[in-house]
Amino acid sequence: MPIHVEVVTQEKKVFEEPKADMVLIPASEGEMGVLPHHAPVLTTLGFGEVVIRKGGAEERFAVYGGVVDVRPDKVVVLADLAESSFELDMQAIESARERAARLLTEGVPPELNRQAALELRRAELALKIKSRLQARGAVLRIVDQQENDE
Amino acid sequence: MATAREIKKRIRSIKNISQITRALEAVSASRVRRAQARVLASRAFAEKAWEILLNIQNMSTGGVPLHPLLTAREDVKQVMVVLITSDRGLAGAYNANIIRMAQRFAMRLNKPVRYVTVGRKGRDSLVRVGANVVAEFSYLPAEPKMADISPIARLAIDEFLSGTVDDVFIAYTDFINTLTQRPTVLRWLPLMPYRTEDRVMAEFVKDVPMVSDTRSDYEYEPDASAILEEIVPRFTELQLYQALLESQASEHSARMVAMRNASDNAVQLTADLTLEYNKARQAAITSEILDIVGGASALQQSIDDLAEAILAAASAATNGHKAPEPAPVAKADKPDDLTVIEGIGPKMASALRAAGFNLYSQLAAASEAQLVAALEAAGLRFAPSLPTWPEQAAFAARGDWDGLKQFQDQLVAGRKAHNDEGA
Repeated sequence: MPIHVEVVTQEKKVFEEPKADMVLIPASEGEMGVLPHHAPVLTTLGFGEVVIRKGGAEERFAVYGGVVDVRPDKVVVLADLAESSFELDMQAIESARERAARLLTEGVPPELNRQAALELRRAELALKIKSRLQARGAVLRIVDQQENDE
Repeated sequence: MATAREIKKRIRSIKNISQITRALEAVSASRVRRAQARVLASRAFAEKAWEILLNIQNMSTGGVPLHPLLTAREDVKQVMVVLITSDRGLAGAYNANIIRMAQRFAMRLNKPVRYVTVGRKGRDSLVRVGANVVAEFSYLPAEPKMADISPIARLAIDEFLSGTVDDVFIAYTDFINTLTQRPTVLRWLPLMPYRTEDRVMAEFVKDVPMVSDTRSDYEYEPDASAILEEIVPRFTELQLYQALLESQASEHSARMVAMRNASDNAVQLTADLTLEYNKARQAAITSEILDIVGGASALQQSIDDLAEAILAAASAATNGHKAPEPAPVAKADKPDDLTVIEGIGPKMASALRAAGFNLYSQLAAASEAQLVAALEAAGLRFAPSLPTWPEQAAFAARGDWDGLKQFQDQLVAGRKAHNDEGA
């Protein structure tokens, strides 16, 4: 039995695959691999990468917190922000990282400080994902490239 | 009736306006579609989040409050209404409807209301009526992001948690289709289905969709409250976000319809005014033609008079060579030409004719007093040559044209020269 996977943010449904084989979830309590017939679980997301595998192909999303609803035949990722790991905008991330790092070293009010720290963690995660992806070389994706561009 | 030029000016300005309304209509049409797509896109998260919320609520046994934003308060002292309107007008009754609705709802609540307005129109009209507007958010971007609305959500959550308000409602316009938008009040905080005994209130407030699939055998990791901590603030923001998108879709479709009506009216008005313009133009042409024709006929009249005088003179000249007998007979039919008498012009002649002096013989028999009376009747001044007219006429009546000529030669300007002095 395949798993129906949805990745959803507040603004839109980022991804949907009705027949996935396996989902890797960066839960806050630790990495979680979900196969069909998993026990129903509601868990919070940490920072990390959601990986959806189907046959030899896979799809990866960088997520930065949220909630996951796991059921025997369905996984719904409610993410605050989900970006496809293959389409991370490195330039934007790099500039965001620099800005956050500068804010942190300059010292800002606690409210902004927390936000800057978050921003920095995000950017660092994105960079890590990107470099790991580049090290692995070409990956067969679930989503058709052309289709995704539209 | 306005002149052709004025009407033409109006036609031109109406055409300019219709160009603007047409452009606005096209812009709104595309924005409706985009806003609509965004509402649909954000629905997936909302449904899922709501499902999870209900699930956790069902699971929790006993009255232990799970999350402060999920806890309804018994005693509602003050409420907040977030009123979503547009920044710009020209959207038909869109803004008026939602503002009126919000005010009626607030009146029905019968509690002190703190308003938060999103959109300039709502702010302006609430401030005008002296409502308690505690915050306003205007000129949000045309395609708002979550980040744009989170300050609004932050404000509402803070006021709710601090106990300043015990209920928060969102007054917005639900997009049903292009022609129908329904002003709606949504209970926002606490995040619980709003139940009320008041029938009228129930009509205002939109029901939250109940999710059928509420399984309760979940495991929670790390625990339920951690998950709520993640989900509740997101869901709170999302409800506002969706209300805003629905309102935007409604605004644009209301504007589209209003602008389409305006464009249609402009076309109708242009057609009517063009008709009126043509009428005015033709009326102007007609009156010009009348002027020309009138002038021409007046000219014709004087030409006719002149021709008549020349003909009469010519016939009088030929009469002189004919036998004198038949002349009076002919003259009985046709009045004599009195202008052969020196001192009588066309005007004098017509005045005399009007007084009954048609023939030379009649004039010859006339007394000076009769002639003066005839001239005065025609409003003419006394002519100095008048005393000699009967004598001159007597020559003409006899047909003695040579005699007349000789007599006239003696006259100076129609008057008898003073012979005694001249001799």
